[in-house]
Amino acid sequence: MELEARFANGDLEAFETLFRQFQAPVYRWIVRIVRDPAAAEDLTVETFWRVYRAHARFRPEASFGAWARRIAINVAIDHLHRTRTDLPLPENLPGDAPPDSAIQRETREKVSRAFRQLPAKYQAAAVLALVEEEPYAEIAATLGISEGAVKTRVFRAVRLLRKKLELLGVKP
Amino acid sequence: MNEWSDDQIQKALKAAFPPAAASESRRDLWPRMLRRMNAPAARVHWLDWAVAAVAVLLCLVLPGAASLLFYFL
Repeated sequence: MELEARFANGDLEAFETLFRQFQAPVYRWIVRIVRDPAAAEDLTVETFWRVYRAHARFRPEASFGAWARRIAINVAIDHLHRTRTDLPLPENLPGDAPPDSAIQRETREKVSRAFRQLPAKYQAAAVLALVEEEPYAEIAATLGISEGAVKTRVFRAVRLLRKKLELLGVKP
Repeated sequence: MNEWSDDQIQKALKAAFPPAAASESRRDLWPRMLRRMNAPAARVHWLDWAVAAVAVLLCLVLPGAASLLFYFL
């Protein structure tokens, strides 16, 4: 019997083989979205836990990788949703102007925190499109939505982020 | 002009979140997987059920609230 068919029947050895085969790609799919290596490891385990629990629903003729990727992306987006911060950013402290590198670091932190306040689905689309620079078609396949929906999410993410940065007084 | 352009937003995001292409987990996660599989199943707290019930009730009483709820989900 093939590996995927044995996994679908609940064979633990087959699951371990698939785990070892797909651990690295699942981790990569997740870390590109959550940007946190420690969290990405936890979420990789969470993804395979969901995969294992759903083994009876897996069709052996389908692609295990594509199935695992869809679950991994959902796990990553759930994580962004749970960890989305709604805390206001701190006020600037009074005092002498810090050197350029400190200003840049502060701007990076503010951009990062403002971005983390966006809806999780917008964050996922925007980080893949604008940071990883993946083609829209690939992002659409990864997120399981149309290319048009990816463009809309990226557009809205940029618009919301711009508003947040302007409200915070963060200058380009 | 102090408004953020699309290019400036992209550059700021790249500075805040460097590309993760080279990121690779070198750890064997299988032992953690086994621990997870052998852990007792977590039970849903009664408060979670209560929050879900309130959300459903809110959607039934105020259908307009559903779109707001889905936006944040």
